[in-house]
Amino acid sequence: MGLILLRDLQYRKWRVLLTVVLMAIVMTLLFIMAGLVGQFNAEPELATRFAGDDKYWVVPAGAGGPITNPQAVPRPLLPPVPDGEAVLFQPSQLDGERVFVAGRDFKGPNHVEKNLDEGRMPAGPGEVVVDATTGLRLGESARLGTETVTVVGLVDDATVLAGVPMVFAPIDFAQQAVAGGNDVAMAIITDDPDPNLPPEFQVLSSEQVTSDTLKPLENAISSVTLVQALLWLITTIVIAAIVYITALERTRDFAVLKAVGGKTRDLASSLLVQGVIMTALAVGIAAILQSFVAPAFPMIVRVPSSSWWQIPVGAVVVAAVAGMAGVMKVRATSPSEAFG
Amino acid sequence: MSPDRRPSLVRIKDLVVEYASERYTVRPLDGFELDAPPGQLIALLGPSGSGKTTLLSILSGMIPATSGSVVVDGIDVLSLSGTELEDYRRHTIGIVFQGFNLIPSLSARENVAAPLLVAGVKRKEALARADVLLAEIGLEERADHMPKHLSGGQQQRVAVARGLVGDPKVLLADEPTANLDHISAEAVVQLLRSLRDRGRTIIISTHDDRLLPAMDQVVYMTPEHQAATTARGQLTLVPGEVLFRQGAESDYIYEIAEGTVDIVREFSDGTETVIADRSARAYVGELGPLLGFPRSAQVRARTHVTLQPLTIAEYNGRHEDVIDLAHQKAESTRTSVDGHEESDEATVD
Repeated sequence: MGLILLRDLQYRKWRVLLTVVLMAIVMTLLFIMAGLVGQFNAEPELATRFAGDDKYWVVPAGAGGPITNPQAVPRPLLPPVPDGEAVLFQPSQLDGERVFVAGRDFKGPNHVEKNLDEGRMPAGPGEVVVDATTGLRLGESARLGTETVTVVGLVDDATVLAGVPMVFAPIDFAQQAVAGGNDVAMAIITDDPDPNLPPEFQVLSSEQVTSDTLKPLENAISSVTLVQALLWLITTIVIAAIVYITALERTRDFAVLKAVGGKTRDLASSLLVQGVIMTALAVGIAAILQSFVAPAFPMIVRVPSSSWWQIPVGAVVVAAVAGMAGVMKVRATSPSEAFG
Repeated sequence: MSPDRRPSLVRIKDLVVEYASERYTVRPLDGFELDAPPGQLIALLGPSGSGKTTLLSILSGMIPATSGSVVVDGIDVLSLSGTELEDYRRHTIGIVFQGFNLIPSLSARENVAAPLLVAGVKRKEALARADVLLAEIGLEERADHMPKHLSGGQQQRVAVARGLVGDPKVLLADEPTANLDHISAEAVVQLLRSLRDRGRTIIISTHDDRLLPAMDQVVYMTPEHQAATTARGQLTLVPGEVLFRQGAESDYIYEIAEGTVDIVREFSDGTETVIADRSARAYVGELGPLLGFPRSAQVRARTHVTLQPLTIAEYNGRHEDVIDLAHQKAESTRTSVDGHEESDEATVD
């Protein structure tokens, strides 16, 4: 039966090729969509961890997270928190491009050493670390708010709000550059999960800040998830249509093979296997193709490790289910049809 | 030919096949009988619709029969199902389909080996067996050719080889010489005769009576013409009385002298519908006797009716004048409207 299956694939090679290419394109988009959702979900956690050292955040009560709703508070009005460190978050522009500035005391006692991809942490005014997606290189200068800065370090995966790169600067300099020189901060980070706070302040865990940062992206994530569902639907329809058309075209073949003793189960299986083979080829091509397509997207496409097995397994299951229409046709084919 | 005393390899008794077609019942085989000993070449001769292919389908276990018995090599074919049927098709019979029905994606060798491949025989073994058969039919040089690159005769010989690959005792061939030129047809008949000489029973369906001299047995699938030949006096029917039923043998043509009859189509679900009516000076039931077909509808009196039964000869004698008149009328219509209008009077059996 394997030979007959192989020969039929060869006989219909152009259709098989076109189908595989079409499905590969659809599945590439599936990988990309999975990567976008993966990045949407991973980005806030990475950024929060990088900016806040995975500690607790003291913020004004009822104001939400420090990234989604940065509410400037004059530093003298912030509550005293032992070992706490004031941080500034402020949307701004770097050479005209939208960025999110994080100002901290990178030399303070609470500071946790960062893993940079290149360079070092800022050591003084005018020095910044930027996310690599800004396109800036080490030593390059740029205009941040009212000040000129020099890039001394580069970091990956420090973006928020679907790809807005972060800029890290000493808090005093950040206040000068993007807060009009006012001594303000948005939060205090601390190791204490339950500091003694006045009622107008609250403490958020790193997970709560991460979750809050995701909120503005919920609609975008839902939209991408819907697109993913539509792509799965397209995949199902393509496979079902191709397998069914093949079954229709091969009705006489199946009738002949049944008439000479072929088992319906074997013939139907061979049709399903054809669909599965085409799908497996398409998934393989898509897995390679997505690595070429992903860089064209403005935000990082981070395909979750689970997607590397979920998409192939899902595609094979979809192929098997979609192929049932063809299987029903094979089952319904009477060997007497071979007599014409 | 003296009666063959050998035990039958194929024995069919009182076979009836009946099915619904377009809502009405047809019975292509009705009380069919056949005894085929080993080593015979048997032709089922008849026109389209006479039940030849139906009989081959029954013999190959592809369709059920309404009643009767079919025994092939001691196997009660009508009682088989599932795996038994698949085994029967693999080992007991070989089939050659009309129009070759080779699988276009497979080479000649692979087509011949296909029944073995679907049976799970190892590829090497199946292809080796195919090579032997292709050599026997003189096509070893064409073994790797695809069907579209073979002539009609070559394709038919490959189809025969495929039918033989399971080494069956009985080979069934549906119209094996159809669509072949006389040279290819002769080669196929020669091949079938040589297979017969090696002890196989071969049953072919054909409508080509030129093949008959090469056959050991000919089964005529069309019933003998039953049209009446003796004159008969007038008949009278009371309202509701049936002149003849649908499916009955066609004997007389009837001319209506007085009254009206309904032509009624009977359906397989027991319902019926009036499809036409006929009154005085009209004929009814003329095509059945002329064509040798069974009655295609029931004719039933709507009023008191008087009819004159006619033999075909009597009908033709009376009808010639009518036909001449009709031709003349048609000619004059065509001429008068410059070919844009034709007489289109409806006729019903």
